[in-house]
Amino acid sequence: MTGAEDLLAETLHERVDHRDLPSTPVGDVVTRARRLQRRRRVRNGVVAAAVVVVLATPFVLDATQRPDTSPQPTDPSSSDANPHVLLKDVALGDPPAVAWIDGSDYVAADGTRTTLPLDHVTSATPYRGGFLVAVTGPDLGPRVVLLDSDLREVWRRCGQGTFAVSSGGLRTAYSTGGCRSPRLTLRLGATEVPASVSNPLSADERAQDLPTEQSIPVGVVGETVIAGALPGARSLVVDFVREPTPIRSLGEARSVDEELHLVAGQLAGHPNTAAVIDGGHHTVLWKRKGWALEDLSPDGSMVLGIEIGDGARGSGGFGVFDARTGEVLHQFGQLAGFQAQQTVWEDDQHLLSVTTEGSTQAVVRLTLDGAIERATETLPYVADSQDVALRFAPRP
Amino acid sequence: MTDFESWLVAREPALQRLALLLTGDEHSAQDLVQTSLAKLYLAWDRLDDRDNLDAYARRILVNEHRTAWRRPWRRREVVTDAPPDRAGPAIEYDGGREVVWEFVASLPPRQRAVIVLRYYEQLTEAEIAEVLGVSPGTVKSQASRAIAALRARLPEEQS
Repeated sequence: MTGAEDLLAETLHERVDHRDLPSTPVGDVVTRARRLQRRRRVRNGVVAAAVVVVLATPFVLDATQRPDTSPQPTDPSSSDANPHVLLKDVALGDPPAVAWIDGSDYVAADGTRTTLPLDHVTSATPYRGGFLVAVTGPDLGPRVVLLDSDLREVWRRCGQGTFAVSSGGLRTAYSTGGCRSPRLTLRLGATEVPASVSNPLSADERAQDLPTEQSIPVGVVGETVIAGALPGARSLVVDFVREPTPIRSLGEARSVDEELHLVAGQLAGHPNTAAVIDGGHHTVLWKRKGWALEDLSPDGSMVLGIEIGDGARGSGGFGVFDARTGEVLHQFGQLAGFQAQQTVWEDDQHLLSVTTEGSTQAVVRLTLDGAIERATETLPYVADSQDVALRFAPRP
Repeated sequence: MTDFESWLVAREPALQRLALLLTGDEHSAQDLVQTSLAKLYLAWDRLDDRDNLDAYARRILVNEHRTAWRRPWRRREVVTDAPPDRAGPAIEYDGGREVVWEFVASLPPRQRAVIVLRYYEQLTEAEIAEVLGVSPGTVKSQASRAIAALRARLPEEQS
């Protein structure tokens, strides 16, 4: 090497070889992997054909009357017509009837708004008079923050930024830990505690240590929690008494119906194959390759899916399936330029989707035949940043 | 401890150092490493060639850096009250080396990656070409131009 090359090599080594760099917690890696996986699904959704345009346009232009939903499968016939609709031009309807996050505000399903004293809020749910809040930032892994009834910070811990709430809202599950260890602690506590308890925030919780990749609370069934898993791992049934039981047939669990004992997610070992299983016997009720399941409807009769193809390519369209049989009930794409970031059921006939378009974001309401209206005002959005200010909070 | 966790514990420091040379600051380096490791984690079960995990991880990291740099929001200037990170703890650079580092930091991402992979990671031109997905000729010309430009900045006795 020449003198310049030697000097270059020495400089590079001196620059970094003796620096004490902080290590990356396994938990942060796994959590980011989960975020990436979701974004990939969203990105697949971006290129969705505008098959809904023809159906949606009349309702976009006149959304004062919400169209009835059809019990018949919707014909996803494609159309060359692809009018460019701006999010701000979509008619504004009723506000969301589910709890949602608006920047740092927690907005309850009844519209009650609470401003949380935190930035970068990704999820929040009422807990023991205060709130459990998930926060993150560009250079920060997920943290779980407990706020008391005066919205004062009680503690802040590493953890999964996901909460699960039981049917009726009686119990709440969350995970903390993972900063320095590849294991997290899954916790299940009563959402409210009796007024006679002097310090409700320290009232008993059930706890179970779990591997990071199997520690995502997805649903609460009685006194047990269904913990979702990343690819390569199995979801678990955690009863906080015995060793957690792997659900052999299910890899990533995404949604749980407590009443019907249904669990929706991805087939074990086949991350591109959707499956719904009987939560009692863990038998596969149905499976469908090329789809990712998202959310069971409130009555448990339907499940929302996104077409992902082989994982790298897919139409990205939405599908609504019969939760017990897998029959396709509705199938539709997205308006050109519209990108669904998070989609949940509002009730058994409507979906809500945090949607970005150009430099705007808003919550959009979709009927099952693909018609849309806005449920919130539009907010600014930095294109491609994934940094949405609107999100949905856990639904009981 | 899973295979991934074992590999992470052993190899993550090397990735951190590489990321720091590519990005120039600790926060960006940590972010880059975390994203790269997350992508590796998602691909872990599909990787048959476990002997080349290091090379695969390095390729993810380098290309993630190049991709991230192209994203518009990455290049936004953020006004902050906080002082910038110090260049490094308790390391005294002589004048020549500071000039060299400033030169490296001024290079465009791909050329900087070529220099870091060649003179820090000690990869061959062919190996660098594979990591970056370019021809060995491109690697050679980018390195040559960088060295020539560096020589022009150095006093004669050092070049």
